Amino acid sequence: MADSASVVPAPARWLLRRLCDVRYRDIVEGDVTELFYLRVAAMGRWRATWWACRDAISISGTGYGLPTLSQRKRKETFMHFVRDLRHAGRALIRTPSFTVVVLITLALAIGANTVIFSVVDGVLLSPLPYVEPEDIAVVQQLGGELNDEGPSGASQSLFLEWRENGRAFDQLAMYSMESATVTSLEEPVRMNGVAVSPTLFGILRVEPVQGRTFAPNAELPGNDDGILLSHGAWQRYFGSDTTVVGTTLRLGSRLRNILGVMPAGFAFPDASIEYWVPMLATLPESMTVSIGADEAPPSPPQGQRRETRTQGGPGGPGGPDGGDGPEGPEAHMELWGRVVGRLAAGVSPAMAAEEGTTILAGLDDQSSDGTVWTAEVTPMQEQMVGSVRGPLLMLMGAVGFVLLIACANIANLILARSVERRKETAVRAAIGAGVGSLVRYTLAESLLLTAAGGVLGLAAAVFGLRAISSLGPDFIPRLDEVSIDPGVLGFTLLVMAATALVFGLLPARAAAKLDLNRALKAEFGTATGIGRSGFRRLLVTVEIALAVVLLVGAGLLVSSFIRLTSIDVGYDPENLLHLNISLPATAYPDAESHLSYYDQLVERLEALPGVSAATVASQTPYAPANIRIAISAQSRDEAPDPDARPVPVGVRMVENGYFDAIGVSAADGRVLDRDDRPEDRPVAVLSRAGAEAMFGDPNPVGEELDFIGGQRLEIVGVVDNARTAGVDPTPQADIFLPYRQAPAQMVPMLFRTAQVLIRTDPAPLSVLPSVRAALREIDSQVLVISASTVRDRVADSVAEPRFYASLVAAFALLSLTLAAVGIYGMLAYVVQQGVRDTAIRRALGAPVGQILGGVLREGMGLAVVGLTAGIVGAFFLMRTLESMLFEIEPTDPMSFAIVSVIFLAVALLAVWVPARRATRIDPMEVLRYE
Amino acid sequence: MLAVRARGNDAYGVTVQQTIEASASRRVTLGAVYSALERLERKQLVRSRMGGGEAKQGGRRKRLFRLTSLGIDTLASARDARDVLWGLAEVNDG
Repeated sequence: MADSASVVPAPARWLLRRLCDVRYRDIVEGDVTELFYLRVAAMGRWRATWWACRDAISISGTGYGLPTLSQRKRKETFMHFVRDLRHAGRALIRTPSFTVVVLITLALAIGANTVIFSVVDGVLLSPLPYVEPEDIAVVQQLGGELNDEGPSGASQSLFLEWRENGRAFDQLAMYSMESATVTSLEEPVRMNGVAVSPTLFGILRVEPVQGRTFAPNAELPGNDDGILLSHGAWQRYFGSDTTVVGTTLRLGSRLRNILGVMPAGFAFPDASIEYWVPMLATLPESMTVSIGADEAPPSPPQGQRRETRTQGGPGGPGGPDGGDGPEGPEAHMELWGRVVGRLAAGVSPAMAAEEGTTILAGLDDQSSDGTVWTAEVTPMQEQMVGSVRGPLLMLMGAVGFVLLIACANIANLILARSVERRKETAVRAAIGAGVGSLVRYTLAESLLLTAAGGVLGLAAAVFGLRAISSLGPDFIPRLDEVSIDPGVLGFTLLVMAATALVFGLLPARAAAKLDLNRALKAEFGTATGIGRSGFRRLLVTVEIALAVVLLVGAGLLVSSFIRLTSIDVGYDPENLLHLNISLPATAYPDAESHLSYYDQLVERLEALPGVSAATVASQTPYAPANIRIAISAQSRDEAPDPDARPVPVGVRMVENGYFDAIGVSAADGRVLDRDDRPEDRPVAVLSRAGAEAMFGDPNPVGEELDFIGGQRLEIVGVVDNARTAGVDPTPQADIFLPYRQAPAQMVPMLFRTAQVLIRTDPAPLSVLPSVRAALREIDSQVLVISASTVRDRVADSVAEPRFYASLVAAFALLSLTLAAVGIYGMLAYVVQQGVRDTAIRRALGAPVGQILGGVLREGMGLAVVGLTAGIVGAFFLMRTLESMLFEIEPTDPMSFAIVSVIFLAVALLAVWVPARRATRIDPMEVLRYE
Repeated sequence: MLAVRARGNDAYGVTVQQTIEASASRRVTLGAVYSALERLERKQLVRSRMGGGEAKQGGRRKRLFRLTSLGIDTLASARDARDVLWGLAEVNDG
């Protein structure tokens, strides 16, 4: 090399030494040398030297050149960070208990937050799966006695008038849920469907995947025999047969043409719907009751308003066969249904509601009885999810608390860890690690922890969401649409980043402020060592306060739930089997055929071994009556009162023997018995709430009341209130009538589906096979829609409060554990840091009790301060829970007391362990070490 | 690339630089040549190996480049494309 070095001109060589990567210098110098000589020949020595220098400089930008200063710095920083990550990873593995606690905390907090946020996002925030869903709104007609009866839709006269003369909606459609038996398939199938105005599909802007939707004239009589199938029904019952459009289907007693198949995922109004049929828009003057519409409340001549209610819930969808054709009594009855429309451009729901109220005022037959009706217009999404918004936001708040507690806890753990490692840090600083590198190291550690925690949390979220979906609380609409989508993932990452920042920066700050001298001098740790313990105490206190708020909330929800499940339902739900059956309309056209079938059925069932009683009723005792009528009653002693207001009561038709079978006896008078024959004087039994509502008298036996069709009923008995279990199980105002004396108008409504109740001696389900066999023997055409024990159904009816109570309880337990870990971790370090002080005190003769007491005082002091703050916070926050609580005040002192006791017990346990450790310190050993 | 091809088995920094300088009649620095060759190598159009030492390099070893088959194909298709465009241009002119 020595000979060759001389041939490169000195300035160029000097530049190459500085600019060229040593690994390639040989190659480059060779080329520069050769080129130099070529150039000397061409342009002379000086210019060749000049060009050699330019060549040397030009090398710096290429792969042969040395990296520039900024490149080098970036690479160096990156390499350092990688090294820090490796170190941090090793350090975390060396302290498995710390790492595992932090990771579990992170995973649970992030997982719980992701699940709840996914649900909130999918259910509340994401728009409905229709085109411009914000313009779709639901109409609600309010007024009269039915105001407090919950949503039930609007009358058809409002719908028709509004559609004709209103301007607020581009399009309006009416629909009404029904269910019917399809008999043209291999075996009869009960399907849930909905009768709709043909405009519905235009409002929702959906197209079928096959065939077409209804023509506009499908709402006229004679054109209404089409049917649309849901994608699911098409797959299930027709094996995805692509030639199904154009074929026919026997639905109830009618033959219908299959016009089309709707796309997968189209679920209006909900996912249980399997078909859509046209709804007639006009009714003949003397209409026949379309019993298909489960909320078609025909109003009887006397101006009483009758409303059939959705029979959903525990009894299952059990509306009578829809589209079964004209049949039944003649009367002027008005159809009610749900009304949905697409708002015209620039029209707000409030403006539309105003127009609707004006239209209602102009309708004669709506206001003839002096009722003031108003229209309410709600965006469809709000109407769908309005009922779960509060509970879901409450869950989100609860889960947010869990996250805050988790963050405080982790910050605390890391702070404690940094205190423990003060000496290590000091040594690192002493041998030249700058503040920057110390901060970088702590950040690397938190980054590793959050990344791992985030991955675990996401796994927990996937698992948790699957668990919640499979739990399938059907009171939460749209739950099937929920998934962990990118937005939610983004939220998780945001949570992770925030967490990393919170508990990464705190110890980094501690590291940056480190006082080298003091740290190195503090040999084994002295009381002065817990520099930032004030801040850590604050963290623990906040954590405790948050946990206490959650605990109080959980306590209230749980005790409310316990109250719900332990109320006396008013009948005996044990050993009671329930079957929902449907009689084919063709074979059972009238009351006589139904009654003779019921007689035969009851006789047959009661002869079965294991069955002690059997009966038939229009509704199960645990579900609200599916027909409500406004009745004005008056006492026989009083003069007729023109101002008497009709009271809405539930009508329950029962077979004689009903009360015996469900285990209810008369509180006053008598119950219905087999002697109440059709030709006898019509009688009725009232529930206690019904008696009070109608007569203002708990014992109106002997009184009479006017019923539909001019019937005059004698009250022969009063039974104690039966309660339908649920969130708001108010006692039902019910009237019980014997089937045999049913007024003609009620017949088609009440007879088509029937609830069979069977009292059994052994477990109810063990009798089910023989019950089914008996049903088949009597008439194989009778369809069993559902079969279950009443006990199970009653349990199902509290699924909603149970779901929320158990989730919040889980969160509360989680936060209680976290808070306990927080207290424990805090005190354990305090004891550790104070080890020398304690040793000296012990050596000077301080009794064990005093030392134990000192630590206990310190820990329990924190617990009490946090508890007090939490109780005060809970006192104000719990008001938001009020609507979810049953028979319990949001400030229930008992719940607050129980929670306080539980919390103090846990806190004591968390304090006790480190306190005991303090007393076991051996002064000699510690002081010798010093 | 053409320069590498033109030098056949003797394509390295200096020869490539000389070829370009001769054909383009302008001065080119060694660094510019190196970074061009680096880019080509990254795209796998050329590959390099270390050659033997030579007296004119002061006995140092040099880095020899040659076209890969991908490079040969790319060159051919570039030529075809250019020929087609020239053909079109000439038709227009004519």
